[in-house]
Amino acid sequence: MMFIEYTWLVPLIPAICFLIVGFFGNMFDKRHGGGFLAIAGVAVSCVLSVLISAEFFMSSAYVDVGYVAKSFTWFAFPGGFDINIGYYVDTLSCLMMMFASFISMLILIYSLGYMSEEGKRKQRYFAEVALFVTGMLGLAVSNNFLMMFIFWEVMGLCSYLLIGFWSFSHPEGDDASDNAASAAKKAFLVTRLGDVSLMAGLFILLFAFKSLDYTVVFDAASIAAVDHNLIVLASLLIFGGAIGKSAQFPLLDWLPDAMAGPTTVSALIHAATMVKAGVYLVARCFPIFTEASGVMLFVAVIGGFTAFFAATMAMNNMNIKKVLAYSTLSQLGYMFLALGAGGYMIAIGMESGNTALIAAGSVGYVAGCLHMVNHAFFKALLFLGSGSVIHSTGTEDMREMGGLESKMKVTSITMLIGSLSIAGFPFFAGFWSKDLILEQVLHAGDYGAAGWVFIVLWLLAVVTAFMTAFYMFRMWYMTFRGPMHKKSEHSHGESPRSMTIPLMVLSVFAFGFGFVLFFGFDSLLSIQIIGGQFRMGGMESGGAHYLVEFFTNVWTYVTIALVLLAIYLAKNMYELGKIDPARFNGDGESWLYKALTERWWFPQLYDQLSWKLGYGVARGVEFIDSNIIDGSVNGLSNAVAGSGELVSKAQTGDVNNYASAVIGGLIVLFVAVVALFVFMGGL
Amino acid sequence: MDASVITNIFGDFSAMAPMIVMILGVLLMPALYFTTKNRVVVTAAMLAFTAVSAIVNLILLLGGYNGDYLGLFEYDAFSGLMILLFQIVALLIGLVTASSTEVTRLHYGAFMSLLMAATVGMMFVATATDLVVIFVGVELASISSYILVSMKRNDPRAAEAAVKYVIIGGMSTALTVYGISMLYGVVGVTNLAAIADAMQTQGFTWAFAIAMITMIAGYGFKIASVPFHMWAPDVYEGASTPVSAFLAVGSKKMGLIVFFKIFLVMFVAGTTVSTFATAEMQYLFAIIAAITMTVGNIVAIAQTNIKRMLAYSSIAQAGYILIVMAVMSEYALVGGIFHMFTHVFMKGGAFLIVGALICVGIGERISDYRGLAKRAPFLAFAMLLFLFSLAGIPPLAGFTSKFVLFSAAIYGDGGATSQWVWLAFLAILNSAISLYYYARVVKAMYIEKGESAERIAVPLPFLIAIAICVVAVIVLGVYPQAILGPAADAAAALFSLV
Amino acid sequence: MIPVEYFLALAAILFAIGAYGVMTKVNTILVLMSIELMLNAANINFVVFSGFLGDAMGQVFVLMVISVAAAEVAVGIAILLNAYKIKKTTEVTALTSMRW
Repeated sequence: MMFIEYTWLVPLIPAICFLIVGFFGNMFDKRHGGGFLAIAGVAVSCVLSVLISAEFFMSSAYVDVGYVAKSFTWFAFPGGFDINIGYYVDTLSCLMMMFASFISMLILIYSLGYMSEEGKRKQRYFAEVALFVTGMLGLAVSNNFLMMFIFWEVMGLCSYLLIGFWSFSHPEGDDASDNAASAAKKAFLVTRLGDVSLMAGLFILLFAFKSLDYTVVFDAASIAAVDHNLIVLASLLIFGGAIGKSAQFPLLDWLPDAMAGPTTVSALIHAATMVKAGVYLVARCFPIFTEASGVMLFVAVIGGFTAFFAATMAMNNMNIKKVLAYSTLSQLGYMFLALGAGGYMIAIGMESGNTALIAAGSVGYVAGCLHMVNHAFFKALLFLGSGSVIHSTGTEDMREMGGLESKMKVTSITMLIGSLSIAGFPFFAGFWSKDLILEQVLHAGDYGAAGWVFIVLWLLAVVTAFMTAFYMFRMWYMTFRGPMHKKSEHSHGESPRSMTIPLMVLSVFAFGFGFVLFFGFDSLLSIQIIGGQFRMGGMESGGAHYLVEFFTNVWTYVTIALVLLAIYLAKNMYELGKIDPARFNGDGESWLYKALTERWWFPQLYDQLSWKLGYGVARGVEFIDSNIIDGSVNGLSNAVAGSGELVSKAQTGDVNNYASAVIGGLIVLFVAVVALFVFMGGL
Repeated sequence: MDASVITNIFGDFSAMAPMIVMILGVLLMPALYFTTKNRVVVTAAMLAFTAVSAIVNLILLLGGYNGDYLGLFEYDAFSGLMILLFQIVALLIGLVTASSTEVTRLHYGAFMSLLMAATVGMMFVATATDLVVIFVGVELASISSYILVSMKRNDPRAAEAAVKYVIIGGMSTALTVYGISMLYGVVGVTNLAAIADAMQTQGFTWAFAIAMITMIAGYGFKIASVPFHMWAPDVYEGASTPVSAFLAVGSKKMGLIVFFKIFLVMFVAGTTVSTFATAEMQYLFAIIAAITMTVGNIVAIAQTNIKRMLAYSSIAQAGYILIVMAVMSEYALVGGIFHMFTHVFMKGGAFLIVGALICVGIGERISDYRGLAKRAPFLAFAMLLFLFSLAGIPPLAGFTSKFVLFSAAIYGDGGATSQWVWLAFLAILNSAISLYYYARVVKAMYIEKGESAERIAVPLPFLIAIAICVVAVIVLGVYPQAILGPAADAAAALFSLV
Repeated sequence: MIPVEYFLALAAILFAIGAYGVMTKVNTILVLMSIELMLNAANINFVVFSGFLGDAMGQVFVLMVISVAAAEVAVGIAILLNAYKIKKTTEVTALTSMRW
């Protein structure tokens, strides 16, 4: 135990960097504003995480129980239980620590170039990012729910400050700063809604288990001792927190708006931190979530629906960052879908004592976690790439770009790799995890009374895979190929080295990380249930077995075909201009005419139809989103504010009325007492 | 530490030692200002007296001193801790008054004297073991604060606020006294322990119900529980900001202590009697708590004046602490005491920032705070911490104390299924609503652009007081054991009265 | 001997009259007088209970209440004078600049 004992340093080092940069940042060189210190801090955390993980996987604790936990009493309640602080190292937290710190480090390096024109505000930026990273790493290593919640909130606070970062900076362009300000507020308040739910869930856990330590809550004996319904309620409330943080339906509204912040912040929020916290929470809480298959079904439904819903909205968006934002929502949906499907199988397996089913569910869990890491790599890559484009052209509107490939070689190639990966092009990282997810969802359809739901979700997920490939390549072709438009003609060309190197590093991972599946990744994250007790890691690795499974499955080829089709479609529409996308907006007849005359185009007809349908659905969905969901959120806040106005009118300023209120209150109290006595039988 | 250092000096009066020191100061202040005409000297003297009193109190508290005087005053862990709270409040407020432009200059000696007198009144309440002493203590604090409210320079609103305060305050006094007289008629004693004893043998009567209701209403005025809260926003707005802070964090706590000392002890003692009304009264308090926190938070949303907003938020915070009265467990009381302490620092700090900014000509409207983060980074950051702490965002003190308090409602009594889970949820929901209006101020400071970008330099005493609050808000959030330990002792001491 | 309920009823009526005055009177002096009525209702209670129970504590309380009431009225009148100097009126309906 050389390094594991120092796990607490992992979040502490960025926290110290935050303090130093935040309070003494003005002593640093103006050009970097403490950026190097923040990078160094996060780099140390990253190295430390790797060392801790390496040590953990070789330790006897990993083999025996699957985790190392250490806790100290933080404060003691007179009620007889303590709240602890400490660390909890298992495969999941190792994974989170490593990829969060690694990607954050790359993003920080990239920021040196991207934020170079921000002047004095750089100090604030780097300090806040360091705090953000602290939040995520702290979340990953916490050993109890309360500590986890604290870091969770720290992240929420930082996202508020970072999304609103540019609200100051446009003294003349007030639209942008208003936008940033309202987006920041929205992000904060909407995620708070989830946080309230999470907090309530934690209180129920506290009430039920008399402890918030993972080691207690996830212990089979203590779970068995607690009322089953309480656990279900707590699970649903905790999942509510995950919905808010990971922007799942119906709390997905804030994430696309949060694009008002700097692109690096978007990358940080979408790839390494913030939204991943929700996925992490669900993965972490598996032992209690799987107490009821219904909870897991709910997780899967929310995930699957969000994946589809968000993908449709990405299809007709012209803002490069918004397309990526919707794709994040969609990919997060995949992760929840995978966890839900896996958990569903585990829950049913536990009820019926079917160990094979539990093993199958474990694969779903692995798929969700693998997709989480893969997504972190390719989404960071895509966001940083889009940042590079925006940095160079000065616009976020894809209609003003085009033909940038010649001017920005590195960016275009790395973004192509990212797009291929997210689209699930064979052998790229995204392919493996996405296919594994699809397979597990289909597998889950065979079990339980609610199995048919998973078949529906699987269909949605396959359609989503098609849409994903389409909108990603729509984005890529619109940006890098096709005719140049005015902004790309005046672009500054390729970005500086500090920005392109992180892109190159990330693209390596975005291509290759999926292969870890064949080298024991699934064994590390596997879930076994030994005597009713959850235990992570140690199951035999599937290894090359997966390869056989993938390529003997007909659905794999169907999905690949769909992806290729989508890419081909996008190429025709946006690079070659052979298919005018405007046609699908209204002019149906000529579309039909063309379809009939040009026979070589015929094989794609069905897909075109579905695409048109998709477009219509996208419009409808957007309408619902902006008018009904947004409207009801606004309506709710207006109602609360309005009732505040109304009640405050009772405050007339006249002392006579105040006195009357006192006497009135007295009478009400009296009536209340009498009523209470009558109802409670005291009289 | 050994308490004999103090008991050797004060002898039989040891239980009152901290108050005696303060009373000497009360008497000295006007004369000192009359002779020196120097506000700094008077402030220094006031701080010195309060600090000596605080040291005396700390020695007694850490020495574990337990003693009473004539059965009227009793010093124990609970009263010691509460006295400490009032001394902290007095030190924080006393520190800044000399440099505040709102506070009277002409009658500065009297102002300081009254500030100390009000503190003494609160300390009386903290040590009281008899209804007479509670009554006298509350009145001493109230009457002093009526005058404090009116002692503001160049603001007609202060005069109006004082009139409102004195009328509603007087009426509440009358209600209280009427209630005490009925209670006296029912049980025949005025000593708190004796009342608690009587409760164990006595059932419930209508006269007793009337006594309870009028007393709840009368002392409800002090803690500004709905619907006895209406004076609070007006008075907090009209009074000079240090006085508003004093009322919000000091006077309100006194009311809560009265609730704990009278009702909590009485009803917990009454639980053993099957005919007694504890269960019903718990519900009554739960309803009061629920309404108070909800109304406070909802009305706060509609406010544009930051002092009024803070006033409503204080009402809501009192509502949270009233959860103690519903749950009536020792554990809940620990949470209540903890929240009282954190509230001193976060609400006091927020008011002090408002007061400091008024000194440099920044108004009381929330819109006046636009762009403050650029003009006064430290103050803006401190304000952000205080407001987020009030909203209960970890890892600040407000979160930790709310966590203890709310979890007490869920935990219930002794781990049995608690009937107050709904109250805890309502409180969590309220905390979420409260964030809405706190975030508005933060948004104005950090996100909206102000008309001016000049740096602001506020008086040094304000900065010191605010810095103390900032440190406390962070330390109590990260290391709550500092206060939870003494709070547990205090709660045990109060429950030993039962 | 007059039953104790009669005194209690008297006190209650006095208290109600006082409360009515506080709620309705526009002149602040009258409001302060109404408060005095309420306080004295409590005093009657104390004296009655003291005699009824044969306990002196009630009478001690009465003395306390009387002195506190005196202090309160003195302060009240002073505050009122201050308000009159500034606002030129003692009517509570005119003192409503702070509300909502």
